[in-house]
Amino acid sequence: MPESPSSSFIPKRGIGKKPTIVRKNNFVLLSIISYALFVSAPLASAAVFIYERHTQNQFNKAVINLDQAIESFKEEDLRRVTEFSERLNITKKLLSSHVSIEELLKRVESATAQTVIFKSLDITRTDKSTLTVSGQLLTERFDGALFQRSAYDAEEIISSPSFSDVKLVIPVSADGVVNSVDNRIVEFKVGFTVAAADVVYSPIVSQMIDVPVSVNETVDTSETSSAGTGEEESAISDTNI
Amino acid sequence: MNKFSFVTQIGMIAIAAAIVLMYIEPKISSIRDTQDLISSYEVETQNVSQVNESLRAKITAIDAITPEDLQALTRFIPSEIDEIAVLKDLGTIIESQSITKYDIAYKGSNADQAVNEDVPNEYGAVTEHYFSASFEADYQQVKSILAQLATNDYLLQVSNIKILDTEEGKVKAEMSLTAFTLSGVTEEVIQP
Repeated sequence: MPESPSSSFIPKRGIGKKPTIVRKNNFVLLSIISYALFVSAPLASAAVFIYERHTQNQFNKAVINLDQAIESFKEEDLRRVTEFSERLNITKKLLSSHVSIEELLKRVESATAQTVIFKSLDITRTDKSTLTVSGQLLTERFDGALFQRSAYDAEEIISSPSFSDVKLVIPVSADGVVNSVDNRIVEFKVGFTVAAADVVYSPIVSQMIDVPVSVNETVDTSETSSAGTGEEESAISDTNI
Repeated sequence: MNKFSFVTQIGMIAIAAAIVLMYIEPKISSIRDTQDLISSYEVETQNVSQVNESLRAKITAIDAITPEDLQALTRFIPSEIDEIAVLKDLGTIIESQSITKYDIAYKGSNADQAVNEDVPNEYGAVTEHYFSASFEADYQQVKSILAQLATNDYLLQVSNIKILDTEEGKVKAEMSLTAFTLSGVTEEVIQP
């Protein structure tokens, strides 16, 4: 005889009771979430509002700081510095290319033979770094012209020397009297360039020439110098020109 | 389960979502923008402060230069030139060599050219003023004059010199000289 289901020792579970508990639990969870959200949303809004105010204050401070920094910038100071800098740079450029023509003349003198004299000399500053020198020279013999050419070739500061219009002429005196044929002289033109850097003005030299020197004193000095160093072969006296 | 409670809770969630979407999220975006602005303003403030510091340091350096040196610099390359004073100085230099017969003249400047030229002067923003001098002297005197010109307070650059031999044992010297002034400066702001 089959046993009735109610006689089993296994406890019976009521059908449909469990789902009711799950639904109730879900409803509790939903309640927690909804309450949490409902409370936290206004709280977060308040926090955001406060933080926004704080950020706005920071921004205002940053603007004030920038304004103060801009106000402390003095345009006049900038103008003063700019002008000073410009003046200094230009002065530097001018001084670095400031040549001593006197020094150039001395170097040309030392490179010119005693037998050669200048009839004319033209020194032109072609640009910041170059000087062009041209002149008309006289000498008694062609040997003098040849020697002069080699002397200028050998001189360090003289660049690309050129000799032209070499001719034998009979000199004419100031009153128009033609001299003897025996007194013929060689006349030629010379031209060369000199780098400004080679004859740049030096303050050390300037200290030596700062005091105006009379002509007689200069002559005396040159004589002393000549006596001290001996006779220089290629040097010419200042009376050559 | 109370049906009304369920709807209320859904409503609460909806209100919370609306607050987040309509207030919190836009505010956060706004805060982020403001923070970006703050960062850029701080960077700019730092840059301006650095410029100010650098400028202050340079002003201090300029102020440390002695007034004599500043005046010497201003004299060497002035903002303006008085051509009559330059001619007077030129005459004094020539006369210091006991030369009484000489011609000196002011030949104008390149001020108009300097303004119109696209290519600046080789020395920078300077205006050139031209002078001429011619005299007869002996060679030593010419050299002494050149030496004095080289040591002048302001630059008198010899741009050309012609030396011609004369019959009397002297030479005739013809010089073209250039003096320089700083362009575009109306007052001496470096004077303490």
